[in-house]
Amino acid sequence: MIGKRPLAACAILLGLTMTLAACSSSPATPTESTHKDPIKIGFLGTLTGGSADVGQTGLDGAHIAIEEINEKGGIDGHLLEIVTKDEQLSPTQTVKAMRELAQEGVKYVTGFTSSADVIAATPIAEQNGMVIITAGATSTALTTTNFSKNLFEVASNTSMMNAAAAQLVATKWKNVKEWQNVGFDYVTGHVSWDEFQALTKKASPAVKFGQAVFYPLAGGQLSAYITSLISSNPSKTDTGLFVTTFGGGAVTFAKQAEPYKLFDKYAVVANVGGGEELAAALGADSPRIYYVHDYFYGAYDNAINNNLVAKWKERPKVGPKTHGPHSWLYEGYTATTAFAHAMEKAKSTDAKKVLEVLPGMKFDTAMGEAYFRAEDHILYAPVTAVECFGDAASEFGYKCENATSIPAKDVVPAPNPTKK
Amino acid sequence: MNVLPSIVSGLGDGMLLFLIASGLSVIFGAMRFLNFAHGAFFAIGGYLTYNFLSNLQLTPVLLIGGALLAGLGVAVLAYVSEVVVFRRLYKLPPIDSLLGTYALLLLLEGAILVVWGPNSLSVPYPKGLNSTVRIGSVDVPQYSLLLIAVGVIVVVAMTLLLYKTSLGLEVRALAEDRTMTQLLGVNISGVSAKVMLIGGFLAGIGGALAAPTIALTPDLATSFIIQAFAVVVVGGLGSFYGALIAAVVLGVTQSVVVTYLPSVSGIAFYATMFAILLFRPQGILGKSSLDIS
Repeated sequence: MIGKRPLAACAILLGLTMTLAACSSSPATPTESTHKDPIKIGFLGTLTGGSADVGQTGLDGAHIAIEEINEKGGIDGHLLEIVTKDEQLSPTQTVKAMRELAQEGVKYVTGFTSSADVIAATPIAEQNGMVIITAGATSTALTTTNFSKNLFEVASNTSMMNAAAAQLVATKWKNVKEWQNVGFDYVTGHVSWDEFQALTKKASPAVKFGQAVFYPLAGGQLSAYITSLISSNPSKTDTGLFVTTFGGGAVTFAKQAEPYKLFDKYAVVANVGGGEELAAALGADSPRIYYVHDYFYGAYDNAINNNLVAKWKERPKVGPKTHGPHSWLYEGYTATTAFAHAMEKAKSTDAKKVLEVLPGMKFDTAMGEAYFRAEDHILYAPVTAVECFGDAASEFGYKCENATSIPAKDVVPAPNPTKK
Repeated sequence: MNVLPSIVSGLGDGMLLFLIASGLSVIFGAMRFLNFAHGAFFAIGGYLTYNFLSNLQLTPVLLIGGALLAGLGVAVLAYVSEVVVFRRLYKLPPIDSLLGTYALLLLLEGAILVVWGPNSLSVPYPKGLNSTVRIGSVDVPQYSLLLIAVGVIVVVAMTLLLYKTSLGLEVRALAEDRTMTQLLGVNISGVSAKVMLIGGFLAGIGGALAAPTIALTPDLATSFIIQAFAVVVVGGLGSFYGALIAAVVLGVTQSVVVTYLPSVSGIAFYATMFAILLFRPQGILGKSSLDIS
């Protein structure tokens, strides 16, 4: 005989399961009824764990885009609907989630934090006629060695951001005679530093390169890496620090570097590929750091960007508000609107026809007009640099100024898709 | 070649590891129970400190007060976990209890995401402890000195507790022979709950004191628990003082390797662990039979 307590527990579990199931697949704005089937957009992002901020912010962007599209009646009477899956920064989990999406009839997928996960997902997209427009992944490989006709990349890739940094070395940071490096100890960390050196040598042959440290992605105890940099005696007047870390690992490094006043020992600190999370976490104690990324919300004054920022402010948030909208919001929003633009251009919701119009498609983004370059599916869009520093009087304890938009023509590399 | 700066910075790092691992070691020493959820207790200690202190002009006294409060909060959580969850796991095979505590870790990680959100959060350094102080020819972070001091206080306090109180006697008896202790009339459940309370308090304090030096992220629990377990294993499973020595040895070795052999820094911590266990499989102060003392 089953007692009452196990039965009650089962009932609670069943209720929880049903609630979770309802949450994982729900129309964004079921405000009007339609006789046509909804178009499902898969959002496969890091929704839990240490990179949950990337996925959750990108998902916010996708939701805002879908709400706007559905408010206008959807695409030819079809409302858009988000189906969320957790990427968990795992190629294995990504493959599983992609297969589930394929079985659920989802043809359009966005999200993604890790390029390795995108590479794992691409064959499944090819096999099932799905279209991937990555939001957060930034590897140059996605448009070169791992190019696919089913894959498009919204975020500025590492080559674009390194090119932007090299251009700033030649123009804005001319006083810096030597650059040092802090990066994560993984492939992209090393590749970025090598690429930055190569690009800078071309534009500024006199610049030298010194101490480079690479620490684990997980962070941990990092004071030895910090003292290693200090022991190289950086100069306040002519040494620059090239930083390619991001997220919690970047914050942990900055927190442990704070007592040593490490960043104050450099003429310029450039965080390439990292967003404002460093300034947000350090708040009023944040040193002056340049952030080079695809997007900064304060840099673009146009209707799309202003609307995106306003809608983001209205959205409910979990946890303390520590910063403005991150570039992941722009990326999720842009990828999702790109699907809608492509369906409108193709005059069809059929993925095959959408795939035909995406290469070369021009559309308006929060940074102005952009297009997917036909040869390699890179988004031909600018890179943004902005300078942020601690300011106790500001809303989040830091202030950003001198935002610069570096045009796509100056940073997008020549097309080199080696896999067809 | 001046190796002193690396040694000093490694000492500070090691002491923080010890604060995290000490509770884990005490719990295993007394109860032969590997508690994966300890990582979540540590993380919640950090997040509670964020709640208590992030809007204040932080002073060292406030930080210590906040750390004690966080320690108490986490101790209560650990106590409740012991009564509701762990007590049901003690008699199961080790792999089952390990999975049970891991499930609790994941549950608490999910709770952190729901309560504090996905963004990185941080606690500022207290005024007066946000710089370095010159000792001889070495610049040492003032905060590292605080961590070293707290580590010493924890060692002294735990020594007094284990060897000068009746609870300590009961804990040592439990570590020696659980069945015999029960036959002698000791309330095993009560002692176990108190040990978990102490372990939780140490984890909370560790999380609180680590908070100014790290990013508080939803995966904090898992990122530190592995290193904490490594310290416990290298020190000798259940050996409190072994954990102290292991934390210092691993912290200092890692620091020196990063400075002088940066190309292998990624494996220094675990390579050291491997080397020690190769020669002393039972750990630095471990015995063939497990012993808290």
